[in-house]
Amino acid sequence: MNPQPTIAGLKCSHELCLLETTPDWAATLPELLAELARRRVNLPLVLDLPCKAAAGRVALCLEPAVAEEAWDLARRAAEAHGLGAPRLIRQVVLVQFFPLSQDLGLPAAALASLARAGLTPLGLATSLSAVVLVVRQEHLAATLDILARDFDLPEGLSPPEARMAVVQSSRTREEV
Amino acid sequence: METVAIYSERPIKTYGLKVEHGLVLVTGQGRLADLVALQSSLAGVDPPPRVIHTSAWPEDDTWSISLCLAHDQLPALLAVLERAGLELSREPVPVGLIHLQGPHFGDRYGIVSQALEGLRQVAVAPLGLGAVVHSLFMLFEPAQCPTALEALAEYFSSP
Repeated sequence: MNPQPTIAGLKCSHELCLLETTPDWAATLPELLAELARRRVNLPLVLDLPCKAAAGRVALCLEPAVAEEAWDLARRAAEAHGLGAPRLIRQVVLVQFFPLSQDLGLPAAALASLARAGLTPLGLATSLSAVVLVVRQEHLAATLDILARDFDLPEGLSPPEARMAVVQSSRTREEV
Repeated sequence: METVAIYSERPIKTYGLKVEHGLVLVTGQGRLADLVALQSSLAGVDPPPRVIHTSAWPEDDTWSISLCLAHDQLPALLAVLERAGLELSREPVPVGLIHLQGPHFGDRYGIVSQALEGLRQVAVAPLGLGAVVHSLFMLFEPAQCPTALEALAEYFSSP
């Protein structure tokens, strides 16, 4: 039996959408991201994943309010470059726990815990300090319960739910 | 609660813009059960391999996993992957990693785009990238790291 992994914090985002592309998107990603930047779209998660081939399978998380617009842009970019159609998965949440401390055991333990409960995340990535799971919103409560049960969390931890959303102003400081 | 943010810094301020050399990128694939088996495969490995970045993503029924780590950690990692039943997708590739540390990049539009624009101007393409929480990290062929770092420093400042 593996010892219970210790974490210092557990947080989750509000509802997001996940835009996933087919492979071979590496060359097209800059164009899509530039257009999303022009439209001041925040991206809580961006991954260009080295996968079976060299690279180029892209995953983006987006606010629901801009997801359709981004999906439309991505579909048009795919069409223009002869790539497979991207797909949009609605109602996803990012669940984040930390610290990572370069410990592969932490993401492995999370995947194992979820699998024992019959849950499969949509993806997993680490930052320098945290593990981020992309999960369906309908699985959020169960995911949080499982991680809280199987991981050693400090007493008195603040609730995991995001309480504040940051949105971009439609004007820049010079305009204000 | 909603906070309205306005960012117009040029260059964009970060807490750190760093490069790490001597790394290797390992990509593998397997079933979800093989990923789950990583936990038991790691048991008893002391010290466990230290992995700087991990991502795992499904593609139909197959999961791809990519791991970035120091070259001296590679033998331990390969043994762990083999015990878990994960197959390498290709031979491990030497890489350099450049990372920028937040503020929270997910709350600011255009960060990744700006980084890619800087790299485009020096004709360097990352082998992979991730913007996750406070980190933006990019993997490069080792010889391209100095050029990439110089290009990114035009767009991002660090203390």
